Amino acid sequence: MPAEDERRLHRAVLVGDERAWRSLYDATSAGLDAYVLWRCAGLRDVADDVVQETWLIAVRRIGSFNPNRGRFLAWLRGIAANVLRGHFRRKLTQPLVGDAHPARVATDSEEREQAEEIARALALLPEDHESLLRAKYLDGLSVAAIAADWVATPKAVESLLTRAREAFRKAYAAESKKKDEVGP
Amino acid sequence: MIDKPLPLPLDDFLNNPPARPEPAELRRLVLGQTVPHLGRRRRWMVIRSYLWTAAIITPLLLYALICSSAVELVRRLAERADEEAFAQNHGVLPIVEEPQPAPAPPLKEKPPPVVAKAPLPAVALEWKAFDAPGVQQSALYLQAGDRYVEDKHDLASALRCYVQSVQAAPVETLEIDPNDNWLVMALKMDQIERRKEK
Repeated sequence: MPAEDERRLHRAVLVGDERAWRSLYDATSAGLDAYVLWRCAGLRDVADDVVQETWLIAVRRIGSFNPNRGRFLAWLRGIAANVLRGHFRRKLTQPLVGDAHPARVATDSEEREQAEEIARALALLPEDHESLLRAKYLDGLSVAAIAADWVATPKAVESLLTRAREAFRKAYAAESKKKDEVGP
Repeated sequence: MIDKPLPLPLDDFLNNPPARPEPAELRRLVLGQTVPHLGRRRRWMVIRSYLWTAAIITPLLLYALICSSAVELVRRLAERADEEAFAQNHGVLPIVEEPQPAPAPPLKEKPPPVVAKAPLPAVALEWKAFDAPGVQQSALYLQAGDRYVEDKHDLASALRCYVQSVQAAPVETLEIDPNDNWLVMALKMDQIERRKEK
């Protein structure tokens, strides 16, 4: 969606236009869903919950979105990242989604634990590392494309990518170690 | 720089990132929860616009009310001050009468002057002239002008009243009267000329 259309829809939403809100939702929901699913390492039940909470926060705080400072999807991702951080910081004694959630029932517990460790490791990464890994592996962009987007040289991007993978590895190792220390 | 190999779960995650089609049920749920907020926002916008309008209009109304009350108060105080001054000068308290509506005079006759039972101060006469209907107005302004000259030697106020008197006077009554002072005569002559030009 062109930025100008986004600005126009935003203005309409500010005065309570439902159709404009639905248009914004339709234009960005798939992108947000893909981002959240990646950040949850494929845990669909957690992703559903985070997506829901993100949209509720977005509609309540739509007045604080400034279309001149960035795109709506980027703003949504920022909200989702905060929701995810809060989610992984909480010591969950009960899952946010009930045990009856189809995704939860279908997921093997070890597989789920692994996914949670990956998600927590992603949450620990600095923002530029996470977004670089996402650009490379989720969005499938080449190093050259990322360099052009980030206004950097391909060499710089490759170097940063190596550091990002290393940080990811260390964060995951730390999460796995925590799990081993706590025990089953 | 050679990358260290990532643990298998991470390698698998990066090379096979999770994906799914957007769940329709989630979309329905999210829209169902968020759209009512737009209705609340619309209602709040309406309320806010009413509040802003009231916030702007209320001080203006209060200001207008205060001003009109102040004007009335000043007018009454001025009348009272003049009456008291007149009483000191003449030893009598003027009786302020309600204006008597005079009958319409015949064309060739001058309208009978409205004379208060007791002489009124100049300011009171001027206010009375201001409120008086058509024909009476000219005579009252004339009296007020005479009072300004006699009691206060206030020529500026007298001139103001004489001008009003002459302008309000029907053309038939603009003849020079022997009792007119030189200022009234001059104004009448000027008014006659103006009306002839028209």
